Amino acid sequence: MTEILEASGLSKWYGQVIAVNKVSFRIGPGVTGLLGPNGAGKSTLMKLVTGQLRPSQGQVALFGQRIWNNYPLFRRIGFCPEQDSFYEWMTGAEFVAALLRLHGFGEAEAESRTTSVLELVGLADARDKKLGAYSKGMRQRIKLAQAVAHDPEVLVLDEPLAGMDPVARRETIRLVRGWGKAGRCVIVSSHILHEIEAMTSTILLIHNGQVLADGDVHQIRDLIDQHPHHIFIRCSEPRRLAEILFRFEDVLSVRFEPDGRAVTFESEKPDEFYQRLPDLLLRHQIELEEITSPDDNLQAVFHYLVK
Amino acid sequence: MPIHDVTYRHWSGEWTSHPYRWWVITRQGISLLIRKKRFVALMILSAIPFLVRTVILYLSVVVGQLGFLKIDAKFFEDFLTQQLFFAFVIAIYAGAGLIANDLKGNALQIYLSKPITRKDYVIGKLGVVAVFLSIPTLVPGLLLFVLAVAFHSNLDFLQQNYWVIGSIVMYSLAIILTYGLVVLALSALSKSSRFAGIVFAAFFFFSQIVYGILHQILRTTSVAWVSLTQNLIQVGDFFFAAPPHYASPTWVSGLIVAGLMAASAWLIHRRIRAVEVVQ
Amino acid sequence: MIIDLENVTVVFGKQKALVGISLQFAGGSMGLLGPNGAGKTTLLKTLLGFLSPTSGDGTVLGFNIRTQQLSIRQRVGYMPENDCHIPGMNAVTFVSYAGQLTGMKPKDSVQRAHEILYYVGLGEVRYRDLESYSTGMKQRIKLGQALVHDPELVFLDEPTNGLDPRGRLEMLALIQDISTRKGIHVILSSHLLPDVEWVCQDATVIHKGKRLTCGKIQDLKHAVGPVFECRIKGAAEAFRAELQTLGCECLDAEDGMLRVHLVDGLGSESILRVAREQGVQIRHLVPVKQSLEDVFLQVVGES
Repeated sequence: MTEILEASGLSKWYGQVIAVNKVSFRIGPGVTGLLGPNGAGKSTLMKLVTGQLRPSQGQVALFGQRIWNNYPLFRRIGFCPEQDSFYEWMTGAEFVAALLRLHGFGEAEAESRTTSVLELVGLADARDKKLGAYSKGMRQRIKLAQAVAHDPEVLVLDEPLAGMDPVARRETIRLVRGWGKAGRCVIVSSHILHEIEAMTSTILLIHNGQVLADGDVHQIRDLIDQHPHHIFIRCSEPRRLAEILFRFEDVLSVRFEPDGRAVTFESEKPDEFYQRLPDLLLRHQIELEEITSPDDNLQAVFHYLVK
Repeated sequence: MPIHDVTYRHWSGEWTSHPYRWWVITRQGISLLIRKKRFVALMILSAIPFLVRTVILYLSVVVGQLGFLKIDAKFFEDFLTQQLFFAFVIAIYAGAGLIANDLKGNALQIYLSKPITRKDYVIGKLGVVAVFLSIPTLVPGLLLFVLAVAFHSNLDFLQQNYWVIGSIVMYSLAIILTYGLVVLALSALSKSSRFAGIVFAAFFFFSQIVYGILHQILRTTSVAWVSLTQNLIQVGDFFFAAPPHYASPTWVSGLIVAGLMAASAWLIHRRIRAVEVVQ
Repeated sequence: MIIDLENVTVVFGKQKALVGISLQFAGGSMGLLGPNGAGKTTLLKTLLGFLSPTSGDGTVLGFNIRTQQLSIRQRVGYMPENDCHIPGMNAVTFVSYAGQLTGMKPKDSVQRAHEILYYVGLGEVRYRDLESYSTGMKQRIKLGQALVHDPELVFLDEPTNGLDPRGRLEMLALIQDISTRKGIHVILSSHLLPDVEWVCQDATVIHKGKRLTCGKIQDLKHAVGPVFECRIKGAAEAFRAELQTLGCECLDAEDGMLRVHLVDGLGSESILRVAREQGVQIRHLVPVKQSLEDVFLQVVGES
């Protein structure tokens, strides 16, 4: 896989404060979630990746070229910032067109791109309204519009869903997934973990300026062995199932749900546990309603890794 | 119960009744301003003319040294007129940020989601600037009068000049309410306390400068109504039953001063109404 | 009845912000949902006793929304969405001031402020200037000033705005505590439907000024036929092929999941059988239920 974005030994400090501390990663096409607690260095990292900040040490390269001060490369990046500030007197269409002109597009092409991108984000009706009159959700969508209008190969989106209502959220998630499938490299930063999960399972977790985890959520989960897997099973006879599974050494603990219809197992060898499960259930004729792993998701991974 | 839930306790205490709610705002405004050292220094400075006049009073009445100086109504009126400049500076300091800071910091939604009315809010804020404006005007004015009565060994002075108390009160109120309401209106119109202060200062100085120019060109004081300060002085003359300083008619000055107060009150009312609690 | 609105209409000039809204809330925790511009904010203002409706009537906590507005605000707490800030105050001063504005005596309000600040988790930093507060702290203090006067009902507007994942969990846990263990009724307005689902028992959806639906969240969701969502580890292709020969449809869903539409008469054991045969691990198997988000999108889409 061709790596589109690569950081090596990237550091940025402001006086004594170190925001990003020797960060190295590689991001390819598709959607990657950038996560981390507040103050972890995500915004600084995004500014470094989009060439707004100069690295104090190390470098970040896009398509093999250094980003900082490399204006031709900027045309290939789209950035949707978290901050909300616009030229309030401009209309939506004027704003997008103006930014497109800044990229070097001619007037006619800027117009046609503006029209199509406003259509894409659902702001075609509001194109001639002043930005000052836009609602929060609309402002968010115009930010997205200006980020993709020039067809960049790399998209960096900082909290793209903030302030959007559920309808707009679903639409945007669909858009982002589409961009990822089309081969663009999309980096999405958000605190709302279930929305990241809806977009991708590849994550980059930053904490205290350093990379804490990098890759697929479920693979990462498998590697966290201080926390054995929890497996929640809802079935017709939870206690009998527990009896049967007690024999196996990988099962570390059992907890029954208060309603008496479900049981949670803790296993240190999830592969073996899951492998034997269908056969055991069928042989002992236990009716299965539900199997889930309550901590095989992003929230749990985040919780376990960020202390 | 042996184990107490100390995390959150329900509260069943006494409530104060609604009419006092505006006082909470005034009290808070006062305590926030008093912490500023520069402001306290300004207040102390504004007391200097009062101290000087006390000494003059003493020398004139008790010691009998200053025979040429007669202690009459004019003495008190002049004192208040002298304090106009201090009142102006204090109005800016105390008033420019009163509403502007709340608008800037989105604090109005906290205020208005409590059981207070918009009127309570405005009266509370006006109270802050009124309290601080009365410190260079009403308070020392009345104190001077009390001292004058005290220094005179008999009640003659009081019998002749008891009406001066009313004049002091009225002139002071005119100053307090005009400056207070205008600066509050400007504070309500802007999110920047600095901007409100500058506009107030500009208004104050600009009107004086224009009068100065017109006075030079037209060689008459009948255009004194152009300047805010001059209008207030005319109003003061009226309350002290003194011959007017300027040729412009007193009723015009009265109208302008009353008009400014009314316009400011209306502006504040409109502006606060327009602020939304929930956006 | 905590909230009882009867045919409330609010008109601003030519715009109808709320149209004939009737709402009954018996207590507990309710989510107030709706697309942007649906009229939620107008509804909140009306419930706070801040707007008199153009027509219709109602009560909040038994007080009339037209004639007893101050009494309503005495017993209701409001946590605003936007940040609010009064310069020169620390946490104790701010929360105590909020208490005094509701009518508490100064000494009482300071005492209460300390208690509340510990409850919302700001105990250690309560003497610090508000200007130095982080996003999480600012959210907590907004909650604190809403609770200082021990309200019977609180309105929370986007309480998890700007919080990182841990902060969100803590805030939601706090709201759950307020609602379930402290006996305070909660109305939560948020676009994050999973948050609402976690904390609230009821939900009301507003759209274009009208109330589209309201009721217990459990009741609003209905099952979606014999469809299972599953994630497997192993020979995925063979697994799908086998299921398809049984006549079941297999579709790809988010996050590597598979949606299996079972044919009538087949149940979860069919899936287990195929898994055993193909030697595949079933890591996740859940009968598909509507989420609150599904309900919302369906209800709004239909209108």
